[in-house]
Amino acid sequence: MTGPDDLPDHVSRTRHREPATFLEAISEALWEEMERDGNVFLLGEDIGVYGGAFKVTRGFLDRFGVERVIDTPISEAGFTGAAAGAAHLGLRPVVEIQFMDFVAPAYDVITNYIATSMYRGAGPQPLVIRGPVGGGNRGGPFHSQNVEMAFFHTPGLKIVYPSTARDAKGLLKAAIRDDNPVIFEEHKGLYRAPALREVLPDDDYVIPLGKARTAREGTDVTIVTYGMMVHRSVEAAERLQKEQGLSIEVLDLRTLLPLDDDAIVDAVRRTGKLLVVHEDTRTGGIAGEISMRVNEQAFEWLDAPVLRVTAIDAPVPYAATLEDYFLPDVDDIARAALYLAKY
Amino acid sequence: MTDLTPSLTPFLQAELSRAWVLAHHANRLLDRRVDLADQAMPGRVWGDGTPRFGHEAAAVGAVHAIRRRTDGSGDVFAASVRTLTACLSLGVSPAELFRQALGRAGSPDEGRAAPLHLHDLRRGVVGPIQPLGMVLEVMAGLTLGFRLQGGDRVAVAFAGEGAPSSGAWHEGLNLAAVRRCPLVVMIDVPNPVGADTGGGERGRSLEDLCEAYGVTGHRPSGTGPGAVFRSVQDAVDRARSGDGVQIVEYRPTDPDPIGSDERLGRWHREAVDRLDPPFEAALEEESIRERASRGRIFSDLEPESPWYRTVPHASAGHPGGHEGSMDHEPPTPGAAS
Repeated sequence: MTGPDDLPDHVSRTRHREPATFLEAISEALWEEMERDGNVFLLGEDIGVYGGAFKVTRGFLDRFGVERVIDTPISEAGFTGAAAGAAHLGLRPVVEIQFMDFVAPAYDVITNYIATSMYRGAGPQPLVIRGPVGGGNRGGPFHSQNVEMAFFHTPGLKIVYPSTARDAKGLLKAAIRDDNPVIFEEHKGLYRAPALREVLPDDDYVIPLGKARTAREGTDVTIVTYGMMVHRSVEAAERLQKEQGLSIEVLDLRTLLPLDDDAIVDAVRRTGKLLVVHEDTRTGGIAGEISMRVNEQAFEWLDAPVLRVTAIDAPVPYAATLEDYFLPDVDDIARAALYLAKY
Repeated sequence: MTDLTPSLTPFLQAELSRAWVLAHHANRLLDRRVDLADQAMPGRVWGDGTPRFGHEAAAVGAVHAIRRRTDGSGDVFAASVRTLTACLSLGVSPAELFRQALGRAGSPDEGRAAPLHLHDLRRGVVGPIQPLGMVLEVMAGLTLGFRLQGGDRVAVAFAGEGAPSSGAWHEGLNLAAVRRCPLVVMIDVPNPVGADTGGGERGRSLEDLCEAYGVTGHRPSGTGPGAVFRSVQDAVDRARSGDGVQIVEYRPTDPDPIGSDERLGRWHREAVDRLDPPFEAALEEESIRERASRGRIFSDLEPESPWYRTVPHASAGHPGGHEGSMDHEPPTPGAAS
């Protein structure tokens, strides 16, 4: 479908002052960056003729042509490595991984080549590797993982994980314009969530990478989180406000690498109590790193141990009952925040 | 298969000869240099020498078949560790090679990457990439980028003799073939598709490989730089004119690259004997100016040269790109090294 100006409807919501979904915000960001900069082009499986598994790039092939919207072979390593080669020329490729679970074959080229390029003197790698992540859609272990910690340990990369439509658009634009390689995670549960539809700013806004935002203000406990868990945490905070009279702050990291240490430490200094929530599994999750940084930088301000609520250490299950048990939910978060508030 | 054999001009024959001599000389001295550095500074030398078995002949021939520029606008040569010294024909100086190998200040990457991973796209050099097969993934994208940017640039890629056993190599080749990228892929004889590192082999022919990927194959008529030049020149022309991926199957001058240390040592000694006469002849052909220039280059090459002991190791701090890192200007493109 196209809108009144013959643009695909999902890339023209803002132009028509209509609310955009999280997915449409991503489409708008890609479209606008490709219009703005001829060096931006897309690679991925089925992104051209088919418009992408989630239709993020529907209509892009007609507008930008086969040289800039490239339907690749099913070879994540091959086309991610190809993005690296194109980036050497100053081009700005955006790689779509159909499900980010499938980024694993490209781990080699991302960590060995792309992330080290600038350091090795081989020049910048201005590319984005983006795709859907996360559970709750009964996708099972091959279509539901969060991949951030597979890359978090690799110097040279940035990792972005937005939670709102506004952030998705502004952060993706920033990622495309960044001279560093960026892993951009999009929780598929947010893609078409009705509650996230919003009218986006109509200016060419860019949200700087590395800056967290306060999703909910509070004074008793700080919850540091990102992605889908921002919404779960806000819901838990509102429940505790209503039922317990507690004031819970929710800090949305937005960018995981680099971490916004200042925002985290500032929050801890104000509330003295920190709960880290992530949908990713527990061991080796980002909660460990955040806890250590708080230990190093704000230990004296802590009034309670740092706690975490995470998925359990298991592959993502398929069956609804199993996946619901596996994923952190509002009850889990509220219980941990209440424990901290009473500590 | 195609193997055009146009007559080379005397000038080009001489140029290839000189480039080959220089590359071969640099190869031998690079290995010697690293050996000496190991002895002089135990634990301070990064990596070790990588023996070359005549690969430089093919590499020199291949490099001369591409457009060489020093401003980033020319064709691109992706080197393997055994063919890196052909970048001497692209404007990289021997001193830069050695500084790179020894992690010294003034090397192109200021000691950040591994000893032979020199990379400088201004001069058209994509350094050796490891794991090996990854080079074709990167070069597929680089040549896709050539098309997106317009123009008719071409890339020639060496990956190393083990690369075709890796999935990455095939993924890159497949993508480049499907998109008809202007890429020339160099593979060794024996073609190592279907080989293990212990010598076991169920080799596939070049014809099989080309049929599988729908690309064009080339087989040089000999092992020297002239024969490889002619074959790669044909491949480059075809790639540049839109004929897509070309594969050139070449044979290093040493027919049996995997052998004993004793045999290897004998081969190197014999190589010196074989090389010295043409090397001397090449020097005799030089003008006084070029002789002076060459004298400087070879003084850099000597293991006892002053810079070897006086140039410091690279220090901390970001290399910040290549600008200002060269100790002298590269030669004019197309000129003898």
